[in-house]
Amino acid sequence: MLSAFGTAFVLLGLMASIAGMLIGSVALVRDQRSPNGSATLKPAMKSMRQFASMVPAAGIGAFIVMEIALFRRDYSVSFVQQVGSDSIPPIFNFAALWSALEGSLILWALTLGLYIAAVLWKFADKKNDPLLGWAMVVLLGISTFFFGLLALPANPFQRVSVAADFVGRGPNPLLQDHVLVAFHPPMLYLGYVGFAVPFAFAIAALITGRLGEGWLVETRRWTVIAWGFLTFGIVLGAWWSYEVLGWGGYWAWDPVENASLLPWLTGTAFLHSVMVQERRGMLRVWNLSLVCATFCLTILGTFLTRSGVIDSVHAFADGAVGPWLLTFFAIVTVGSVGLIGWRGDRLRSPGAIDSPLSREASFLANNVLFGAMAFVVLLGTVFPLFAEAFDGSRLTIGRPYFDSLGRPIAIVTLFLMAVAPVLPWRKASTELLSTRLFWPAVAAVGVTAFAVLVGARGFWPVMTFALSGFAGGSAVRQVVLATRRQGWRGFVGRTNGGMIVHLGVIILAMGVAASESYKTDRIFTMSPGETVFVESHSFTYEGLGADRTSRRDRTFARVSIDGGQVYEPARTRYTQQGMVVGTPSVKPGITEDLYLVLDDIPQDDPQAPIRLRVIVRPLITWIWAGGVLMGIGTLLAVVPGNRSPSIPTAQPAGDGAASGSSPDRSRSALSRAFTSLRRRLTRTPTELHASQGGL
Amino acid sequence: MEAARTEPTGSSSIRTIAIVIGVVVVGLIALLAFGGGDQITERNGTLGKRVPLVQGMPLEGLAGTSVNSDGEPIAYSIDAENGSWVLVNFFATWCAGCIVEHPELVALEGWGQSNNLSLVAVVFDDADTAAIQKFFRDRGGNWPVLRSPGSAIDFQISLIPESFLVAPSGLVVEHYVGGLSAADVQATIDEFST
Amino acid sequence: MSQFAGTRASWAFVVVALVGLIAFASLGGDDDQSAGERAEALYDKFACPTCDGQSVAESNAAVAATIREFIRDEVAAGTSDTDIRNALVQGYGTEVLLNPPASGIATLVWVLPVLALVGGSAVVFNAVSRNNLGSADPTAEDEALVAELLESASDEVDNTGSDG
Repeated sequence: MLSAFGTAFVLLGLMASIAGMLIGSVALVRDQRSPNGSATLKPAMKSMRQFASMVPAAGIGAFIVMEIALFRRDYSVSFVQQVGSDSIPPIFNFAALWSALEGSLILWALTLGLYIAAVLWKFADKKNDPLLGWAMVVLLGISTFFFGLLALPANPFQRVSVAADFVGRGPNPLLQDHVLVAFHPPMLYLGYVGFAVPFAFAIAALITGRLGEGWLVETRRWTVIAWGFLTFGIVLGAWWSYEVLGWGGYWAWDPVENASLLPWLTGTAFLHSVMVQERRGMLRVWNLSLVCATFCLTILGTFLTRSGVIDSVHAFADGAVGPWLLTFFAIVTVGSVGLIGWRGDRLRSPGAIDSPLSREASFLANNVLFGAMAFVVLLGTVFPLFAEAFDGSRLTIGRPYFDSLGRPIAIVTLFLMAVAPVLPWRKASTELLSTRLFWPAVAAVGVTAFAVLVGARGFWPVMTFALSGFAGGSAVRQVVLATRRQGWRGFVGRTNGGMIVHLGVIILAMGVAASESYKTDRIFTMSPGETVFVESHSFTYEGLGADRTSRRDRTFARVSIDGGQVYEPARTRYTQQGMVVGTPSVKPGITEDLYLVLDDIPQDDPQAPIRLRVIVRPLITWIWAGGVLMGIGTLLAVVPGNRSPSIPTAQPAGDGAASGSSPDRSRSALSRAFTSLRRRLTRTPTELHASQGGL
Repeated sequence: MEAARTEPTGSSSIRTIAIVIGVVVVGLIALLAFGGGDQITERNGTLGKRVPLVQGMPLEGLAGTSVNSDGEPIAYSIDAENGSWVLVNFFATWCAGCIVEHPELVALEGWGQSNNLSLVAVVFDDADTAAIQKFFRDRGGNWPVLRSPGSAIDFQISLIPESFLVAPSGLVVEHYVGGLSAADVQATIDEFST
Repeated sequence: MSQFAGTRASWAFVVVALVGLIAFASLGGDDDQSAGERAEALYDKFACPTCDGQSVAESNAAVAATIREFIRDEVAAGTSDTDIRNALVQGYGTEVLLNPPASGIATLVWVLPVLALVGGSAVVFNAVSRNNLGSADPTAEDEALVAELLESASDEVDNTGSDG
């Protein structure tokens, strides 16, 4: 019964996507071909919108049917048989939907459906614009693919026979016990799928040839939102890994983690360089490429982790969808590259960069750094495959590699975060920099002195603290100036919200530097009653305990910290899966976390010694705090900033957040005038101006 | 970065770059599609290699234990099985999948007697010897059961029940996770034997 | 103080203080590692063979514990890092190395990112500097356009740059 309903929703989504896509694209092609536009465009657009609005309905329907099946333990539905269980608590039963491949595709389809609905609602006033039409065609093409996966190779609603005494195994044990499991994947998916919207508009702009700044302004906020979700999802994932996996860390440069980091890196690069295009009209090819690359990388990431090509701790290996995802990746990537190549002539940008000491030059430098980091991460992830195909050698590329290349890039990025926000557009004088950067530099000295005073040593961490102070001072300076000028509005808008995001990044960077560099990791063999000391904390092993439920046997050690509260690191046997998992116990703190792992328990005698691993990690909570602050900053950034209607703007939506005082406004008007001047000049075929094109 | 290159002729350079990137992408796709061969299957590090040493004193009170002339039990060693097929099975009494799998192993044991296949079980994270003895009394089975603490590491065990099929040459040829079927194992052995 | 801020002297003070602090913190660390620290540093360099990408230090797996024990014992016995490395490679294959070797095909994984970074920087540097030099004499048409634009643009122009 439920499997029939579910399949019906999947087929509805598939059919609606195909129908809408075909009707829309045929009408739009016809419209583009005929010189006066096609009379049939309007009704066709209406019909496409009607089909498009069925897609979110289908996604919601499929999601709800699967949740009902999970809660009813309807084991005749194939996916419930795979991950359902009679004994897991409701929240993990709810989250079981995204604990394996097929269900996570439902979540993907649902999210895409919701974004489609949002686009339909948001752009209702431009409903017959061919650019919007093409964007919708692209979005429906993507949803065709994902509903197609659900209908053919990865159908979670298959009807299966079920033995009378069948008891579900439940999801992977690691996904059964921590509340973050309920939030991390949906956040990540909202981020991943959200990049489909700017991608769709980019493709639409390429197809229609309307490559003015318009589409960028329309999708910039969507990109910010998707980026915010992705950021928050990644940080939540790191936190989950720290709380559940029991290795005392939060980021292992695992292929799945790398797959989420790749679009984040290119997305971050885009969010910065898009400002150069808005202000100066430059970097159009580059920005389009970044938007397309970001979406392509989300698909590549999905392929890498869902196809079994690369082994990973938390990949759902399933060979069946691999070829589909790879084909889709091929279509999307080759299509994007082809379109950009085809429209290259229309993308010639006017304008030039006047000085290396300018906002736009600093954004270029930002892009070099983020591009290089994305390249490092991609190379490190796929290189073992390449090496094996090339000469059969088996390589592992892990933390030391990513650390040694990532650290210098991160350090330079922090430096840039200090300097770039105070740089004006076009050109800065050294006196200006010297005035604006002085107090941030004092902050750098203060933070470094404090760090050294409390015992921080070593080049990389202390360098990180120094530059964090510098960048933090610079961001605080911007926020203080903005709030002094605009009151509470000094916290909202892209620029000000962006500074809050920067502060989040800085706090996170200090957390990473301290927790990696000053980690203490000790292993003790302890008998009951014994006490050990680590970093001036005492740990007393009081004895073993056990509890048992129908799904797991838990054996835990009672360890009191500093003679106070008792913590219970455990080893848990998940009887349905035949898996033994070490569950850590953490005492969090602002300055340091105490992290206990039960490495080994005595097999026969409860009085025999245990092996206890004690990890002390300073400032690790700063990483989560930084992530939360980045999320808050993103929210502030999407709130419209101070926009005065009396200022005429050349663009449909001007850069309101940046125009605080009247000199600023007049200069941005002048800057736009210069942009348009340069645009006119580049049309003159002189040698001089020809050399300025192409950026 | 390539796309930001400044050339005198903007459009054609963009095309050239697009073509270059296109070629790289197609190469990447080809690599992902054809590179590496058998990556879709899981890769347990022991597959295709010589079987790690499995030895130990079989648990007392269970059948399948060899005794010497004095009636004392002899330590099991997989090396002594050279020349015959061996199925190494990792299990525990607390593991639900192991209970489901057990009848298949019993069936395999019967088939193996006339087909040059022997079984050996290794206890995984299960201290309760009495429970193991009861497990075999209740469910049948007549093969040596060992405590071999290092073996779980050597065989890279993560999700029991797991089993490894060792050919008469001593090479590990197959790995079964989460419950095997006797028919699968028989088919594999038949395939190798013909 | 506000008159002092931003002057040459004040900057010299700040820079000297920063360089001094960082130099003190970098050189102040003790160079001679204890055996425990040496072992811990080594844990980070090897992959746990069963857990895909996690290092021996990070992994909770039993095999990682075994390798940690092996390294601890060998370090205590005074074996050199290279010998420990070779022993582990012999036992578990080159996959046990988390850091790809700088030999053979793996050299590329080190060389390509550096090339990309250098190439990217060169492109940007080129773009910035070329346009700096490219300001040749304006034509009459240019001047007319500038005059026209200056007229239309707002009169109050602050050339010191923006905070926005």
